[in-house]
Formats: sequence, structure tokens, C-alpha cells
Amino acid sequence: MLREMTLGQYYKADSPLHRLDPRVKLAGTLLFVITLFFPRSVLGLIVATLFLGSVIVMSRVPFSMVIRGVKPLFIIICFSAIVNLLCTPGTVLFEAGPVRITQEGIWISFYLVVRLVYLVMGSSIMTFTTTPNQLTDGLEKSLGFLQRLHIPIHELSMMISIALRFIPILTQELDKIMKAQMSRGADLESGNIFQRARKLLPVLVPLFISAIRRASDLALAMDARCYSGGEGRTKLKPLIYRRNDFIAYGILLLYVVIMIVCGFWIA
Amino acid sequence: MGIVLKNISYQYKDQWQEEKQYAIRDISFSLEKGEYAALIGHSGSGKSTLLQHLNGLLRPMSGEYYFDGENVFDGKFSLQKLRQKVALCFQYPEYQLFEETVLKDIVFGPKNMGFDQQTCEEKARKVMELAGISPKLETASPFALSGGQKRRVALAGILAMEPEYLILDEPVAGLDGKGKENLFSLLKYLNEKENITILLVSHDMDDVAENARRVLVMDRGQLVMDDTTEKVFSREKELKDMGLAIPQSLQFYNRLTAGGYFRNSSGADIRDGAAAGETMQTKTRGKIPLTVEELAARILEEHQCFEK
Repeated sequence: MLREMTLGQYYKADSPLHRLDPRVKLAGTLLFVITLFFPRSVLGLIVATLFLGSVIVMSRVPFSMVIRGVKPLFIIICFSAIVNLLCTPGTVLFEAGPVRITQEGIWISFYLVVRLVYLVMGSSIMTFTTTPNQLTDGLEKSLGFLQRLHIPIHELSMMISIALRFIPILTQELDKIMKAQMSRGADLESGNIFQRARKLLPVLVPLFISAIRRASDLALAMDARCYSGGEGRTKLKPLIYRRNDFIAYGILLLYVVIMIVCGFWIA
Repeated sequence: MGIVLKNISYQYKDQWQEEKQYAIRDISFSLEKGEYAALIGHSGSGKSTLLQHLNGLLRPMSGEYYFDGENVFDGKFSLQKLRQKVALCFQYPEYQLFEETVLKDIVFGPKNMGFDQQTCEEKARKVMELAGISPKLETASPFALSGGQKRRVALAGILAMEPEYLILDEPVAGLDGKGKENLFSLLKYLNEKENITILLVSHDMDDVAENARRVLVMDRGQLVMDDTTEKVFSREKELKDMGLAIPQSLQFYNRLTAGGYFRNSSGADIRDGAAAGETMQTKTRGKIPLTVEELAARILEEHQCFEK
């Protein structure tokens, strides 16, 4: 079950997108998500589709994997689409008892579905092409100005990268503990939600213990290497903009301008 | 009867790899009641995957698994029953401890098998004695114990299910000399007195040579050797190619043989020995020394011959 989740995982490949500076990708994702929520226009939607499509092709990530990232959110997307479909007032197209479907409702839920799906796809393309370490590095550098406001941005980004690093470790650990308890006859699947929660105890207790043990080991290892926070710390791979990064910013700017034109003037 | 595997193959679904790779491929062997076997192989050769099949945790993609003549994966066979009869002890089993007290943790297995509290506790006390856990520790928290004690409690939790087959994945990893010795003597007792079949995964060839009577060798997902311990370890070169060593005592013996030391007791010519290399010792006296004791005996024997 856990293995099927692709949202937030890195896909190893050699593509122009993989080589981009993480700051460009962070900015790009942010801008893309913002433009998705510009006023509804068919033209804007087409431009966004083309943009996202070409980014996916360029990233060399298999399309099926990008789609798989949307799967966990399927229920949420369906739910919000149905609510919008049924609760939007306007020109009635179809009516049966309490169910009333309007032309506006269809449009709104259509846009909603497309926006949500694109949002997930856009951000998963970022995580597919950027390692968690690059991502937190980029985040740390882009938010570096907050340091002046005494916000411990280095420490926060270190926490994020450690947390991300531990996800696969703990997933593996969970798998192992589940198997160990199953081989002692534990039944983890049947029963209602409360019974199942109780049955998960033999899995969760060892998992928490191991997480705490690992955390304290890690803290000790960091101490042993004289880690003392962000001050005066240099990077093994400092982030430096290259030619391609400026080109990418240019393309991004062009896209945003087109989206603004499509969203605010033409419509 | 016992465990019979026929052409078992398994692939992991790896989303990062376009091509699927076989974790284990076309594995066939059988394990009779009362055997003491070891499974060796390089890291990543598929040992753990194979073990998980024996316990029904993984389903083979092709091939069949018969337990006492019944097909395990035909849908009718109860996996619960299989897991009771064929117990699997994972690497570092102490990480699966979770209850408040030692006794509670040990009864977890039998309880899942549907025994009542009283029977469970009886079984637990029995295995605690077997595993050398003092009754005083019954009410102790398993997390307060030492590493070796934790390992014994975890193993007791598995033994409390009263399995007929015990499969262990590196049971002595991380134990000190004494703990290791205790564990192997427990396994020996279980095998000899309780007639429990043991299949052991180990990277320590000395442990394997000293304890197992049969050795299975895996390489890149396939079972490449399956023979008596002596015969497997006499194929030094093949093992070396797979990244595996032979027991220390045997290495020492082979060097001595190559240097012409055993000419008296073995009766073979020195030059013969040097030329024929490692195939020679199997021809000479039949038995090759797999343990330090056996090697010492051979050297003393040689020495006596020399003095005469």
C-alpha cells in the first residue's frame, strides 16, 4: 500500500528539468499553481495544459507515474466535484427531487477537477525531478532573507530534510515489523476500524521505539561531527544559477504573462 | 513430506526500474522433518525473499509450495496454520517486542493461534525455561532488558507457537560470544530433542560449518548448491566466485595441505597435494575438518604419525 504512493518521490533520470536549479523549480511550481487559480477561461486552460504537458515530456518521467501521483487524492477530488456540481445555483439543466444540476455547476466542477489534478501533477513533477536535499537547499536559500527576522530558516530546512530522509527508512521498517508480527499470527486486516486500530498496536509500538532510537542515534552522530546549526556553515554543492536557469526563468515569465493576458483581459 | 518448493519465482514490483528483476528464480528444494540446514549467499542473493515465501508472507509469482503434501497457495490452505507450523525469526527479532511485560509478549503468538490464556501462559513458561529466561523476568518490561536477553525473549515468543519448522534469519547478528554460544546450543537442543527442523541464514561460515548438516547456496536469485556441509565447503573455488568464503579451519587445513603438511596421516605425496590443489583433501581421507576441534584432531594425529 505504502509503496504505491508516488507523491513526493524522486525519479532518477537525466533531463534538462532534473539539472535545473531547485530554486527555479520551486518558483515555477509556485507560479504555476497561482496561475491555475486565475479567472476561468478556456484559453488559459489550454495554455496551462500545453505548459504542463511540455514540462512532463521534458522531465522524462513516465506519464503513468505522474498520473499515479493523483490517485491518492481521487476521493477528495471526486467529492469536491460532486459538491460543486450539486450546490451551484444558475441555469437549471436537469432536476430530479433534491438533485439539481446547473450549467454553471458543470463548468465550475470541471474547472475544479482540472485545477486540482494539474496542481498535483505540477507539484509532483517538481518532486520527481528534485531530490529532497536539493529541494530543502533551494528552500533554505530562497527563504534566506527570513534569517534577518530571526527565523531559524537553516534549522527548519534541516528538520524538513531529515524528516523527508526518514520516510523511506520508516516505511521499510514498518514493512518489516508488519511481516514479523504477521508471522507470529497477528491479523492486521480484518475487523472494524476500532478493532483494527487496536490490532495495529503490535506494529506501532516497535515502530515508534525504532523511530526514537534512530533519532537519538542521529543526534549523537551530528554532535560527533560538530554540527552546530547554520551559522558559518558552507555547502558541499552551493547553488549557483547557470545559463539554463535564466532561460527557464524567461520561459516562466512568458508563461505567466500569457496566463495573465488570457485570464484578465481576453476573458 | 515436510516442505517442498517447486520452481518458485518472485519479482519485486519496483517502480523505479523499467525492467523487472527476479528476486528469486526457479527455486526447488525440500526440507524434511528433523533436518538442520543452513542457507548461505551473498547479500542480495534472495535469501530473505525465499524465507518469506516459506512463511507465506510473500506469494510466489510462479511455482508451487507444498506443506506436508498440501498446496499452500491454492486458497484453501490456512496461512495462520502455516505460520504456526513454520515459524520465521527475522533479523534482529528484538525490534518486534511491544508488550508491557515479557510474559505478555511471549503469549502474543499462541494467543493469535487461538489458545486460551492459561494454555498460552503454560507454553510461555515452558519456552522461557528453554530459552534460559529467568522466571523473575516475567513481569519485567522487555525494553528494560539487555540486548542478548531481548533476543532470547523475542525467540521465545516465536517458539511459544510450538512450530515444527524454525527458520532464522541471522539469529546471532550483534550478539556477543556467550550469547551466540547459548543461542546455538538452544538450536541444537531444539533440533535434537524436540525434533524441530532448523533452517538458518548466516554469513558466518564457521557457524554454518559447526552447526548445519546441510547447506543451501544461493547466488543471484538462484539455488546453485544443495548438499551436505562437507561437500559444499569442498567446492572452495566456486564459492569464492560467488563472494563466499569457507570456514577458517578449512582454509587453514587447505594451506597446510598445499604446503605438504599432511603427508603422514593422509598418505598422499607432497607434490601430488600441491598440484591437485583443493580437490585433493576430499580424495585422501574423506572427511575434511569443518571445525577447529576437527582440525586440531587432524593435526595431532599427523603429529603422532610423525613421531612414530
